[in-house]
Amino acid sequence: MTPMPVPLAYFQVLAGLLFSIGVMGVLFRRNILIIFMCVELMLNSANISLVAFGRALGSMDGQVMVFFALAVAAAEVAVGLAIIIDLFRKKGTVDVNQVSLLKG
Amino acid sequence: MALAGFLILAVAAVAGALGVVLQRNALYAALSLVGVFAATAVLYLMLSAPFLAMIQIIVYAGAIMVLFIFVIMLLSVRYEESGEGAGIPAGVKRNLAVVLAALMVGLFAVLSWTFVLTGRRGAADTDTTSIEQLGLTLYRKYAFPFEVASILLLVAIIGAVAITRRHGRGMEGSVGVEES
Amino acid sequence: MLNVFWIIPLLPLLGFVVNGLGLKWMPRRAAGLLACATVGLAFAIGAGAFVELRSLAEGQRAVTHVLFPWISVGSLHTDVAFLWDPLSAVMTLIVSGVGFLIHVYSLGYMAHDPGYKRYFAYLNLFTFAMLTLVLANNYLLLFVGWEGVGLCSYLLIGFWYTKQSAADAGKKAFIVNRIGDFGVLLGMFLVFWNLGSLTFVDVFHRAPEVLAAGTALPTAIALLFFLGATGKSAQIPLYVWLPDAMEGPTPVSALIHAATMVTAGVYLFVRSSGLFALAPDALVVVGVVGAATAIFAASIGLVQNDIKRVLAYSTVSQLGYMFLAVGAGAYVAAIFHLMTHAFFKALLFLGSGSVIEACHHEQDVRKMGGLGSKLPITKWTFIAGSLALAGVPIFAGFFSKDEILYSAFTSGGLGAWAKVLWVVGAAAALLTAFYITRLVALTFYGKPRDKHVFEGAKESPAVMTVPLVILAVLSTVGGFLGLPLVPRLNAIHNWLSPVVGGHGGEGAAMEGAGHAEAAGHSMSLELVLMAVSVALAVGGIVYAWQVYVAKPGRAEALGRRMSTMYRILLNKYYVDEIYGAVVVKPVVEGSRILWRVFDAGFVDGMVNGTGRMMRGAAGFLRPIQSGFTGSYAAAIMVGALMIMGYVLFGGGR
Repeated sequence: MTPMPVPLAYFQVLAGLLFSIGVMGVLFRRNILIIFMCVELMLNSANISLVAFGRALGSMDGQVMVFFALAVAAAEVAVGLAIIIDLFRKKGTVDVNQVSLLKG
Repeated sequence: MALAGFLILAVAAVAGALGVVLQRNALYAALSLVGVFAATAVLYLMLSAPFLAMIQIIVYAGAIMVLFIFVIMLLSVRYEESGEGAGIPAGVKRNLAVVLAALMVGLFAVLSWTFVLTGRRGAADTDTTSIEQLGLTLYRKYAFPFEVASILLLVAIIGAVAITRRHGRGMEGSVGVEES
Repeated sequence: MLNVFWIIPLLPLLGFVVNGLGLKWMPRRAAGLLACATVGLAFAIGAGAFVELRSLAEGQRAVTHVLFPWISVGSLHTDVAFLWDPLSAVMTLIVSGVGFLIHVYSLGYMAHDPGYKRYFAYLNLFTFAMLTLVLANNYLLLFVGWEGVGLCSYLLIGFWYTKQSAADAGKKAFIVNRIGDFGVLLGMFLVFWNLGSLTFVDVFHRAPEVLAAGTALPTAIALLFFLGATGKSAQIPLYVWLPDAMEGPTPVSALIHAATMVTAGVYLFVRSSGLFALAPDALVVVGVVGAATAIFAASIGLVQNDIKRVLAYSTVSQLGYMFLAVGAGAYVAAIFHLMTHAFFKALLFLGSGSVIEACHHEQDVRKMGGLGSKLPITKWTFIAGSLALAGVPIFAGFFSKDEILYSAFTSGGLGAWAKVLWVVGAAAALLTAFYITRLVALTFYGKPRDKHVFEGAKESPAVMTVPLVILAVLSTVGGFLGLPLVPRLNAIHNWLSPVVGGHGGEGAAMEGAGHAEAAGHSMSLELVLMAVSVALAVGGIVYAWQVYVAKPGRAEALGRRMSTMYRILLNKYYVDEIYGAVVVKPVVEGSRILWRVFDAGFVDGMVNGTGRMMRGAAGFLRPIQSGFTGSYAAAIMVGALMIMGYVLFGGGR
């Protein structure tokens, strides 16, 4: 089989880097929409990793997994945005620090 | 040659990611994310997954991000309020962010570099994998998950509708609404 | 009758239960009559069983009846069982007989008291406990009775519990007794530990084999039991509760603190004679303390102004005589004096009750005088009792006291102390005659000192005077049970000595009872000593008469001349004050400190501190639950990283 154009490790590092950045966003941003976007970023990074592995192993499984991940991500975004809209209607804000009802 | 391409794409992706995380304006952040997805799509191409690359653009960039932008505009969210004083104070946040980020990246880097791939799984031998191959794997080996995924999508639709349903009246203004 | 003797203690118990549970619905008269009936019936059965016991051969006079097996743990097997033998028979008759008379007397004395029914319930309970004490066949059951009489003493001393002094006196009695009980318990432990049983027959059988005579162990047991006896029988140093116990109703003083409960210590010793024969040194201590108490208490009684106090100190003094007898090894003499003392002391107390009642609850003799004309029956019975107490011949006290003094004088066991203690006892007899004559004179003779008291006095009703007369007769002729000089005629000796001397042993000659008989009975010596004691008694009476009746001013003159001595005696040698400062105050202060430092400070501190700690910890942890999901996510992330790091780089493979 043809070797990969770029060594596998590079893709993994890239995926890890993107993932870390996404985590930072989830932890430290206050706007819930942006947090959600960072979650999507994390998902995407995982996808990259999967495809890379699939290619390295010469298997279709990686791509199939990503296929499903994609489908699930779409569903998740739909529901998540619905929740955000509902939250906005109830609280009038998308600032995550303002909805500390679990406090105490 | 491929390496150079990879590096360009990588830089683009990382830049877009940083844009998402660091920008104040939600709309700009969304657009940065689109950029990330685009870079990812090209990376897929590089990895012999053309179908996925297209799907990535269509679904992620085309559907999901559009949804995001709809919602951002609907809620008239522009700038993130700053300095409400709640939560972790800003200085601590910055330091913590740096430390955590360094840790994570370091972790992944070490993992990736020390990882040794063993064995081959499939017979995918060619330079470019075809839809035919994808279809065969999908509908044979992963038939069941496929059906489940379709049900999942159905549930998601119903859920989204149920959550945002308004009991009674139609849509009203987006700021300061009160549930009746 | 002999085979149902075990009912005897249960009858007053029944009376207590009925009267106690029926406090609300029992009719007043019925309660009193029931109480008297139970004790009277107990006496009747006792008398019948006594007669039947006599018909048995001398060595066979011991009937045991087991009510039920009680404790069977390890090697300890004690039953609730009663023993009917000459000693317990005599004690039973004394307790139930005198008790019956006092119950009847109380029908009159307590007639106007609101706590009438409660009184009779307690009185019956006491009788039950006392009978259990004397009928028990083992130390444990005896101790049950011991504690029971102590409890009843507390209940009855503090009968008028709304009066502060009465309540205090009740507590004092119980607490001081407790100290003594501690000694009895320790003694019992030692007995069981070394002899393996608490039943009398076993103990006295094994004692000579297991315990070497004169060594530390039997001496310790004897001294510990004596500690209990000083508490219960009011000897030095634990006698202090008895004078205060006069706060209780007078019949109670008569029954409990003269005739029966206080004799429990003497009974304990006489019963254990087989054991204490192995501890001659302890017996010396007993004798010395007894004699010392006799003269000490008599001296205080010389100057007291409350009728009942004089009699109380007299009781302490006479108990001292009984212990002197025990110390000298003359156990039969001790029981004999116990019996005669029960007669005349009960008589004296009941008589004083009659006087108090007639004077509308006035107890200070300085306010009396000349009452003889108004209270004839009371006066003459009281005089009978006084003559008996003083030891005037043919009256009961003469024979018993004289026997004690003789035994003390000739006692081998007392060794060098024998003559000394005789002198002490004789001196106490002189003081006894003096103080009782003083009491009679001040109360019944001379000119009335308080018009109001005198006017209101009248003789008591028959229900009170009849028991007085009966007791007066007993005080006069009771002494003939123990005629000296002629062994064959000494009924009580012949009755008791087989039992008290060689308990369980087949008449083995022991140092115990019958010492006076074993050593050659010197008739001439006895006659001489008798003459001396009679002279002392008569002399005391005459001198007191002179001081208080013939020339009334002499009393005050004497008082002025010996004013310091007078003050010391009047204040009872300040013993209570000394105890208060040396014992009570440190204990109270100590507990106060313990309360402040330990209980309030340490324990409460710990408990409150735990609470505070929890609050603090909770306050510390609360910010974690900030409600900001960002913080939660951060925490999750950090945790996940740590786990990953551990798994990948450190831990388990």
